[in-house]
Amino acid sequence: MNSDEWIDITAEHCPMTFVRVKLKLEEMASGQTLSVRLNPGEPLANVPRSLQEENYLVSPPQASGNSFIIYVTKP
Amino acid sequence: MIGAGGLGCATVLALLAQPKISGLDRIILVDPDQVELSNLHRQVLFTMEDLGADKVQCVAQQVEKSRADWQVVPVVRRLQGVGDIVAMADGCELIVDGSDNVTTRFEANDAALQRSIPLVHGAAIGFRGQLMTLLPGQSACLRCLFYGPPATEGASCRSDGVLGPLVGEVGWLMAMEVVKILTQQGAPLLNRLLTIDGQKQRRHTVPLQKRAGCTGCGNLGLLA
Amino acid sequence: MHRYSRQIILPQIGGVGQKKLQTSHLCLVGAGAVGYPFFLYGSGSGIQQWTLLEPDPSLAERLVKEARRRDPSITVTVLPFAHLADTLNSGLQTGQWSAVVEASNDFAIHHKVVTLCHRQPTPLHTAWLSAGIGWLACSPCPCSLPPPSTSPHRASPFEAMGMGLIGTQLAQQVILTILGNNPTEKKAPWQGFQLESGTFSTQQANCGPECPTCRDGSTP
Repeated sequence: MNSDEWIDITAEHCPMTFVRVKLKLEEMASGQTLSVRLNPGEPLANVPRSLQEENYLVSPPQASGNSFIIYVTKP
Repeated sequence: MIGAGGLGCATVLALLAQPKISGLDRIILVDPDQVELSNLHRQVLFTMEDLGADKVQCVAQQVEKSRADWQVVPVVRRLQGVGDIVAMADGCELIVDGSDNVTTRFEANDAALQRSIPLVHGAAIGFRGQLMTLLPGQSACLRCLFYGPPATEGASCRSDGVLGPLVGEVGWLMAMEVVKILTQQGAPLLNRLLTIDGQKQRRHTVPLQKRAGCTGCGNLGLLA
Repeated sequence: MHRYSRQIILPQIGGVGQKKLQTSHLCLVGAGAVGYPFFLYGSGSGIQQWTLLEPDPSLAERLVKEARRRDPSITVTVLPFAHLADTLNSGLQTGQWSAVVEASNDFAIHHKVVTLCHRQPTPLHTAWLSAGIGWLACSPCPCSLPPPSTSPHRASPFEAMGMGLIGTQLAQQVILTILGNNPTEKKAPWQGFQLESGTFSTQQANCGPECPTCRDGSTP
């Protein structure tokens, strides 16, 4: 899957994981897709759910080495 | 007093603003956390100088500076269930619950019922806040209204967001409830739940009543 | 950014709203029992530019000192209170403030500020504690002010706490104004909170054709 922008939040902790993604998405246009690299555990459990609560389209996570990638499309 | 976060800070600030409160000379303040940068927007007793320090110690120092007649007992640890709160509240006249999770709120409710002392309950999340006071045997408890904590709690980053001055308002109102109970002046929020919608700036009081079969006060034979 | 993360994650604020807060400029009248808690929560939310008008130099000094201790990026400009009307008029004319906040709890100052800000494009947030009721309004007409408390023995035992309480409520309303989302704007009724009973009331803040302040030839 192609993305317009990407962000790596593997160095962040909650709630900054979500804050970083949210700020990045605010800069993007409707219809654009952001790829997000995130750690398993708390970020993987919480960030996609929080984005869905704000009506973003979130792809199922794909394993990538020790972390995961999700694709988020801005509605 | 359970919690030295946003609600605890505001409650203490408000109590400090009141010139004289008869019946208040000792506060046991329990919180396991240290001051973090993301706390400062709402926990206004703390500043950059306090980062990394135990919250309860910082609050105790602030109180010491302004009220030599009060004793604050700082306890740096997480409360472990109803029995722990009951033991901690030994000799206390009331419990103030400014905790940050639903499980502890119900535990504080049950501990107040077991000790038969009043509970001032406050909570704030996002743009919403709520407040009520429980007088065991006389007014509805948290379980009369909300039954019990949910099976799973939180698990969303959004649920961590909160508007700072809304937390302040709930904390200030909690302090007012404390003073009403201790001084027996004014009407505390008994059998009433005060709700605040910060976004619409609407505040309502919802009438409550003790619920027959409540697993909190009903089990203890406190229903009228 | 980390400092404001708990606000940024709120959908109603986000990064855009946080930027609005951090670039806003408030004129605060009064740094006492209402204004000081207002400042703690307002500056805590990220409002960094402040103009202060306070008659008591020790209260002004306390606020400036507190600002420095909290965040070096907060600037507080203290202007001479003796020139209240001139300062307000010139600031209102230039439109430099996001809002004026009247937190003096002195009826003469309260009335003067409400009158000076009446019908100005800059929103005025004002609060007033009278006989145990804390009142709040945004840009009210001076004719609608709740009356001053004349009898000292009618003062509420919760007066001191009540002032801080309305400071926290004011801070919420000002934040909503800066975010462009204040439901209490445009002369909504005064919102009153009765401290002793914990109940609410409202009082009309709108002026009608019979309003003495507005009967100056222009349409209310």
